[in-house]
Amino acid sequence: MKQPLRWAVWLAAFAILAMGVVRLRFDADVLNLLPEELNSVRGLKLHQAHFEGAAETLITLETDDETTAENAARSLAGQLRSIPERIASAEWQSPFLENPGALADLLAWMWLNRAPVEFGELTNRLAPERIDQRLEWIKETLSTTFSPNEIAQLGRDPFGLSQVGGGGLDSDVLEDSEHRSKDGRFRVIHVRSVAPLEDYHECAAWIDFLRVQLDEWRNTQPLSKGVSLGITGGPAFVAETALGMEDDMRKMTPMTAGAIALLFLLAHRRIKPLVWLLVLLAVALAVTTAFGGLLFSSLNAVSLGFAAIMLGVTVDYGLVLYQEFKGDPRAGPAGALKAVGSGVIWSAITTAAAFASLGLGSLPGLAQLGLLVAIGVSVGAFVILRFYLPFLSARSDPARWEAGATIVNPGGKHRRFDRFTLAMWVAAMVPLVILGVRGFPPISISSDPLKPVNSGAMSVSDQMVERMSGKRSPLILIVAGAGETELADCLTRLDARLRQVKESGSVSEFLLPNDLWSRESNRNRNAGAVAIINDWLPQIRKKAGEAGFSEDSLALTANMVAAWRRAANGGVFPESAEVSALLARAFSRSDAGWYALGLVYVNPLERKGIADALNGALAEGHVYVAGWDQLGAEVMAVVQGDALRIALPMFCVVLPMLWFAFRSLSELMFCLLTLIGAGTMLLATMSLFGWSWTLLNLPAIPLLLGLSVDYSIHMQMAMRRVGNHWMRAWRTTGVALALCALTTGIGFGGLALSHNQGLGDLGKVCATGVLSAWVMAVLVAPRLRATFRGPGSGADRSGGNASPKPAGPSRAYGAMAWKFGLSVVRLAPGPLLIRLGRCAGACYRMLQPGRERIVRANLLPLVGDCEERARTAARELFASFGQKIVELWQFEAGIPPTVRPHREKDWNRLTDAKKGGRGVLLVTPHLGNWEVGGPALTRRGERLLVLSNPEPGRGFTEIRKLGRARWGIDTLIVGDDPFAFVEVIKRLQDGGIVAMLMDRPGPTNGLEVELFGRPFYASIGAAELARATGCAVLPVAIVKEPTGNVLKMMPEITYLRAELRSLDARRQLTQKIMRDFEPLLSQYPEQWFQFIPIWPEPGSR
Amino acid sequence: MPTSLKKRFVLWIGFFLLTGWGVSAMANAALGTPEDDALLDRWLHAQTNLVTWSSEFVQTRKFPTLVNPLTTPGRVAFKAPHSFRWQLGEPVKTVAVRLTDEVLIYYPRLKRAERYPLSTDAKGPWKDAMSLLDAGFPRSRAELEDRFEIVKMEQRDGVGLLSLVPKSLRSRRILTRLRIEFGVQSLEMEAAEFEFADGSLMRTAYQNPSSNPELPDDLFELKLNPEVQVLEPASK
Repeated sequence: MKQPLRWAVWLAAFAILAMGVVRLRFDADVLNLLPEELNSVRGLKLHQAHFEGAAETLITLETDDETTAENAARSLAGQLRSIPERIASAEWQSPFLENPGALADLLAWMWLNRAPVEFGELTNRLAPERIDQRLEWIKETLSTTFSPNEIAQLGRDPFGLSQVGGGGLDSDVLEDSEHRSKDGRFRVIHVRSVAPLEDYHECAAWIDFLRVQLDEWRNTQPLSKGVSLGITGGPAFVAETALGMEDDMRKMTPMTAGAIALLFLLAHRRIKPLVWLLVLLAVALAVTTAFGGLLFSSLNAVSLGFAAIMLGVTVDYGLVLYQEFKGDPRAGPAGALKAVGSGVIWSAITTAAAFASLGLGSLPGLAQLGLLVAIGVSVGAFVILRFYLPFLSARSDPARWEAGATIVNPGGKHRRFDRFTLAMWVAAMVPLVILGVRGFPPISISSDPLKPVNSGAMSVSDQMVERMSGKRSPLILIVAGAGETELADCLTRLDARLRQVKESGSVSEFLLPNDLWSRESNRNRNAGAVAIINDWLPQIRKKAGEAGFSEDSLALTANMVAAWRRAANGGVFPESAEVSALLARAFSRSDAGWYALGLVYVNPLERKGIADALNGALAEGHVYVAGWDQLGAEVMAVVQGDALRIALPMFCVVLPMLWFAFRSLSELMFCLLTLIGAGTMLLATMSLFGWSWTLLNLPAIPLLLGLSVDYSIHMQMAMRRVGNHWMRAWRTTGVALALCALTTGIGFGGLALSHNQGLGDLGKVCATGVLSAWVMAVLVAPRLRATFRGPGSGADRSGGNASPKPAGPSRAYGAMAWKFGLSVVRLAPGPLLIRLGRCAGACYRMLQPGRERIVRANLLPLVGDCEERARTAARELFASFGQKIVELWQFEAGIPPTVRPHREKDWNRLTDAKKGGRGVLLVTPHLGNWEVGGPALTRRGERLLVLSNPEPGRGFTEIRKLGRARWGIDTLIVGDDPFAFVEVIKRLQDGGIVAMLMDRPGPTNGLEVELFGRPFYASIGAAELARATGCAVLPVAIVKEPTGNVLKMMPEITYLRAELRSLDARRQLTQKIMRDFEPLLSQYPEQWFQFIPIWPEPGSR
Repeated sequence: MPTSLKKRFVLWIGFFLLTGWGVSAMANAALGTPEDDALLDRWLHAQTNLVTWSSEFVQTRKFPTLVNPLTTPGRVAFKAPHSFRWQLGEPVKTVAVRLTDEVLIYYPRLKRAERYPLSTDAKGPWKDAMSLLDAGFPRSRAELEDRFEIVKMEQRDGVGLLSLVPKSLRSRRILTRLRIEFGVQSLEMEAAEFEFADGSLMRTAYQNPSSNPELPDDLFELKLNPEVQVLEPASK
């Protein structure tokens, strides 16, 4: 890539990431961690979003006597009300107690919304001809009744106007139970802010403001002595939870980084590698956070835990790499990368895949966490591999590293089965014994993990519930409807259902705002009756006076009639602020629908069963139970449902990855053993200490999987490198992993101090899981491996390359894949396939770093030994090869290729060569797509014979032959058939054209020549054929240029046939041919498709 | 029905019951003069000897919502420690009986009864009203002062006048003052008067009281016919 373009790409990437950072928001709402489709989550969200009660801050007061409590509450509310610019309301007692006149407005509203039949009965009750009798009855009753209800009502409400509906929320609101306990010593002031509290910062500022007010009141009011104050309610919870989590995150990352730094210094006593490691970790964290901003815009509280997980995992890569570099400094950064790079890559891929599979789950919080960790681990691995050692070794004297290198004792005596191994085995059995005795840790369905630890707001809330309702905390029901009528119907159905449930005993009490709900049609239909009552009012007054009733007795009646009259005239109705506030608490309206609030007091033992009891209503999606008690059970049910959905793909992805990483069944088994063992240790520890699986510590499972795989890959690779000598592996990779486990464990251990109970659980379980993974991966499984496989077995003879060096073509190169390709190219559009082919080539390169190294080594001489150019060319080569394969499939499937000569007159070279009836031998290297040149010849009336080695696998050679025959091209397999050359000679002697490849000789026909100044084995076949037939030797190549395939035909190579009797002459001719190709190879290095090592090492052949 | 009103009138019931047995028991107040104080102690001491008590009465109820007071005759009977029976009207229109852990109010003409539990887990304003009676027969000044503040004890025309105020703020918001009148010589209760926050007043004037009369046990029982509808207003 050219320099300006590279800068442009970097700038664009930086700009995109900066955009991600700008978009980033912190989401402290724990409900956003949970699936919105859950009834209780939806209910809680609706309650928070739409009902005023959820936005109220509650100030509690408690004293030894109720008089002081009442006076204190009145005084404090008065002080708060004196700041109207900040405080919208401070309600210390029922608004209807403060303004009893508002009751008439409320009753008028409730009556006018009743059905016309009921309103008609009321009208009849007020008919002048009937009231004499009623008033007499009332007087007699007042003189003899003991009934508190009758005594209470009849004097001030002689016509029973306060008898409306079936009770419910109205009576609950009129009770002062929202503001005082039964003994009156505990009071609650409901406070609302003038400005809406949009986020947790505003909530925190609001709570701070209230605290200042409380302090001021306490300092200025003598009666505050002995009054204990508390703050709770929605804003207090939000502020406390969010600030706690923010604080956790602020502390956790530095704590992890600090642990990394301290342990690194203790272990290595070097500053520079530590600084670079921390810098790169910070870069990886920043990039991942920016990705998070781009993908999600807001990061929730739990997913912020990705930072600790990501740092914990990524630092492993740096430590392993550094330990390897330090252990063998002479090998340099490249050597260290070569040794552990593939292990790091596979580890990153499997860990990322394990965490990414959390994205398949139903919990948004965990899904976000999983995806962030997957991104973070990938970014971290890239950053560490790409930059750490190069930065570290820049301008450094390798001797310095050598001086500090760990000395590996190569001659350590190794016993296959020693006391330490025995101890490890015995120790590994302990968790099984613990699990056998104590059983598996339980799964907790409680929603407590979502709550803060040592929460002031929570303890005040608990105290309030206990004092106000005797530990009876009601369930909140949210009833939803698309419109006024639908919501009314829902309320009616729910009311009937709750009555049934109440009879069964599950529900002790319930309150629905049926009687408060607005029914416009009823109001319109009752308007006529209102007019009649209004006309009767003077007569009612007169008759009441005659019966001995004072004007006071008709105050309620007159006020209600006035309210109805106002409603009929289109005035504000209900008029009083108290009724409006009551309605706003009970109902809400948004673009999405209408909502009503109900309360259900459930038998504590049957709270879980309420969902079943209300099953019908819940199933219709009209009723949501906004209770934290239900939340835990519902979420856990979802989690259990997710288990298979996540675990299956996770293992389907991770197992193949592990297979690709190890390519050894036994090593795969050791890795799985590590995984199972670490899981067992974790479960046993949890069981021993009485921990539970909760909603928020579930991410420990993929973390355990990822780290077990991570540690296992590094350790198994190390064991492979050192020939199963555990001590040697321990002194390099084992020590590094110990450092990794300690740093990661400390990072998670810090979470145990979190303000959030769930994060604390997560920290404990993750720290235990990390240490379990380390013990199994480093101490137990490798010892087992050494015991079974013995020292010296399985060592990589190449001296440390983690992956075996490929010696032949890819295993994918076979008949089945070829047939598939031939079928696909007949169906799919060519341009798309070409792109896919290039992508596949690029992916293959990433998955096969060993193959890429070979290609780079092959290309180095072509690019003047420039590593950078070789790397660039190698990258392009894999993509070009993918394209070439697709074009080859198209060619063999019968799709005509387009090939044009470099210059038209180049064909003359072929014509000249054929003069005199000589045969022509076309020689070419594996450059470009040489196969597609055949049809260009056959179109000119020439018949071409292609010499080829046999293809791997059964039937593949025949497939390839058939593909060429489609274009009139003959194929001769020259592998092991000693008579094959006879036919070739005959074809050349007959003046035919034969094509052969020069640069990949078989085991018996290779001859050392020089190519780019290095020894190179080329096929001697061309020289032999020239000697045998005197044919013209014409070098050709088909290379890919932006305009398409171009035929490059070079001048004929001249020789003296008689001289070819000597081997040296034949070598010279071969040399001459290869030298002619050098300019082309230099020009098109990315098209020289050599995937196995081509430069022989001295003395190797 | 507005609950504030409910609460207010619940204490009316408390008044009836108090006047039945407890009014006489409540008058051991601390007073203006040592003589008054001694009188209260004497009256309280007399209550300790009271096992049964019965009387006729005329009850007068004054409501701000009615121009004229309402007057009703009736009978009351008490048996230590907690049993009582009230009958209002002639013929009887209302009967209130204290059973072991509830008060049953029966309206014969309406064939309707109301049950008010007095158990410890009972809730609501009715319980508040009942709690005024639940202490039982006051045997000491401390027991009386536990629930009431003794405002005044005085003697006028041979009658001891004991003025009390409920200590509970909640009760006081409904029942503002309670006055008990008893004979200075006889130490027999003569009247009880309750003043309520809304200005209502209820006075029960006892006539022909009888201390420790022979009272049949079934007087304090109430057997209801099956056709009587029994309600539990306090559980709403």
